[in-house]
Amino acid sequence: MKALKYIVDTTLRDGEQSPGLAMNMEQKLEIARLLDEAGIYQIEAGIPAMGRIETETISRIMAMRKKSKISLWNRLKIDDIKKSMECAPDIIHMSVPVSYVLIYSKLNKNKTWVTKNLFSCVEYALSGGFEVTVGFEDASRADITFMIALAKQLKEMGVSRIRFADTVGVMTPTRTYQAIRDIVENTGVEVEMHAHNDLGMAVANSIVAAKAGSNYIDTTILGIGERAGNCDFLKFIRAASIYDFGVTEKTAAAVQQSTLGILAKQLAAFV
Amino acid sequence: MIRITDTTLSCLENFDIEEAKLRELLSLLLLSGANVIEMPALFFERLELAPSPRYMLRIENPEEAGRFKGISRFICRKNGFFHSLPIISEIQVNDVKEINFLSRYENLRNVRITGLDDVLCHNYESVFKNLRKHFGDKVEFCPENTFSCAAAAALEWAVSGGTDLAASFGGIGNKAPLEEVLISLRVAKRFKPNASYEVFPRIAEIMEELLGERYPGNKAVIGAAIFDVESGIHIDGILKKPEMYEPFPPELVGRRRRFIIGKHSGKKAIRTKLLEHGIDPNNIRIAELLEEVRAQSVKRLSGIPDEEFLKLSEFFRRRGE
Ligand SMILES: [Zn+2]
Repeated sequence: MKALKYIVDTTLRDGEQSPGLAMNMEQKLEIARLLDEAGIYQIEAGIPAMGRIETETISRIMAMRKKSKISLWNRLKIDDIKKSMECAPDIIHMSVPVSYVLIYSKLNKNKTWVTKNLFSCVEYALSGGFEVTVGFEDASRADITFMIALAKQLKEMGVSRIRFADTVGVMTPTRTYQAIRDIVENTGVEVEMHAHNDLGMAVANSIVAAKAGSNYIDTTILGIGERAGNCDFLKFIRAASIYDFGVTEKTAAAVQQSTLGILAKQLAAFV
Repeated sequence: MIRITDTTLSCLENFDIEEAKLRELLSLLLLSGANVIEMPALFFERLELAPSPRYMLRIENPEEAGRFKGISRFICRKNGFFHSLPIISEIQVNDVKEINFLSRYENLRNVRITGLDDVLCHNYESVFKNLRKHFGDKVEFCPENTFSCAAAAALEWAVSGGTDLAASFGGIGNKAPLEEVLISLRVAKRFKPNASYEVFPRIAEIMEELLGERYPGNKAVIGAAIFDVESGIHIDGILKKPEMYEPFPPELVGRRRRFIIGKHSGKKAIRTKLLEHGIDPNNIRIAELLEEVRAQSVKRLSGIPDEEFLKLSEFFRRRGE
C-alpha cells in the first residue's frame, strides 16, 4: 500500500498571482469545478481582502463544490481574517513572514511583534470555529529553531498544519529534507510543502518533502505562479507515484488539458 | 572541483543549422559556465575547429577516435573495453532498479551514466555512492528529466561529492537544464566558475529559433517573464530590498526586472510606474486609478501595457483648484 498524501491546489491564489495574468470569475469557477471533480483534497480559492469580486467568486465556489476543502489566504490582519470568516470556508490560512530579511526589512518589526500578532490572529480565527493553517513565508531562509518554536506553540493552540513556503524558490532537495524532517520530528505537526521553481527544483523538493514526512503538497496547474512558478501539478503527480495523492496521472493530465482551454488567452505565454 | 559537460550541440545533431549560427552558439556555450562542450564529430569537422581540451567529440564507433588528433575526450554509446583510449562509454540506466545490473560493467573506467530519471524518489545519496564505488570517482552523471527532477539530481550529485556531470541548455534532449544546474550550484554550493551567465538570453534566442518554439515565459532561469512583478506586496518588498523576493538578481542572467501593472497591483506599484514615466504621482488620484486598473485588467485578462496605463492615468489627473 502506498502512503496516502494530499494535494493542496493554489492555482486560484498563488497561480493567479502570476504577473500579467488575471482570471475572471467564470474562469475561476470552472477551474474550481475541475479540481473538485478530480478529487483534489484542498483548493486555496483566493484572498478575500482583495475585494468584492474575489469574495463573490469564493462564495460561489463554496456553493458549488462537492468534496474539496476550500481554504482562503490571509495576511496577519484581523480585518482580512474577518472578511475570510464571512465567506465561511473550511480552512482559514494565514501567512507569517519568518525569515529575518522579511521580518526586519519588509515589516520593520521584530520576532516578538510577529509572534504576538500571529497568535492573536490565530486565536481570532479559531474562536470562530474554523480550521486554521499557518504559512511560514520565506521559510527556506529562516532560522529553523524559530520555526520549530513557533510550530510547537501553534500546534498547542490548535493549528492543524504548518505550510513551509520556499517563497523565493531557493531550496534544494537535501536542504528541504533536513528542514522538513527537523520540523516534523521536533513538533509532530503536520507540514505542507509549498515550493517555487526558481532553480527548477519545485517538483524534486516537493517529492523529497513528502519523503521527509510532509503529508500535504501545494501545486498549481501548469506550475503557474510568480516568477518561475510553483510546483507543477501534472509533473508532480507523474513523478510522485511512490505515494497515493488520490489523483491518477490521467486525471491530472485531463485537468491540465481543460485548463488550457479555459485559460487559452492567458496561457499563450506558458505553452 | 566540479566539471560540467554541456551536451547541447550533440542534441542538435539532426538540425539544419547555418554555419555562422553554429559558431555563435559554440562561442556562447564556451562562456556559459560549462567546462567541456560535447559535440558531434561532424560539427567539429564542419567548423574546422582547432583541437581544444574543452571539446569532447561524440563518435559512433570507437575506431573513429584515431582520426582526430589533439582531441583528448570522446564519447561513444557502444561500450566495450576501450578504457585505455580516451573514450567515455555512455551507459543508459533508465531507473534506480537497473543499478543492480551495473556490476557487469564493473571493470570499466571512463563512464558516463545517463538516465536515472527517478533517482530523487529513492535514496539518491546511496545510489550516488554506489555509482562511484562501481566506476571510480571520475564517473560522469547525466541525469534525464522524465520526472522533472534532472536539475535537482545533478545538483545533489555535486553536493554528494560527484565531480563530473552533464547537462544541456534548456534541457534539450531530456537532460538537466544547464542554466538551472549552474545557478543552483551557485546558490547551494557557492560555485562560481569563470563564466558570464548574461549570455543565457542570447543562447535562448538562438535555441528558440532552431527549435521553432519559444521557451515558456516562466521557465526557470531563462524564461522571459521570471523577473516580472505585479502583486503589491512583492513590489513593496523588492523596492526596499530586492533579495526579499528575488532568488538571484536579474542582471546575473542578463535580464531586467519589469513592473507589471494589473489586477494585483497596489498603490505603491502605481506610484512607481508613474515615476518611471516621469509623472508626479501627487498629481494623480491614485486610489481611483488603481480601481480602474484592476477592473480593466480583469476585463483584458492580462496586465495593462505601459501606453495604456499612461492614457488611463491622464483621466485621473488632479485638476488645479
Ligand atoms: Zn508561493
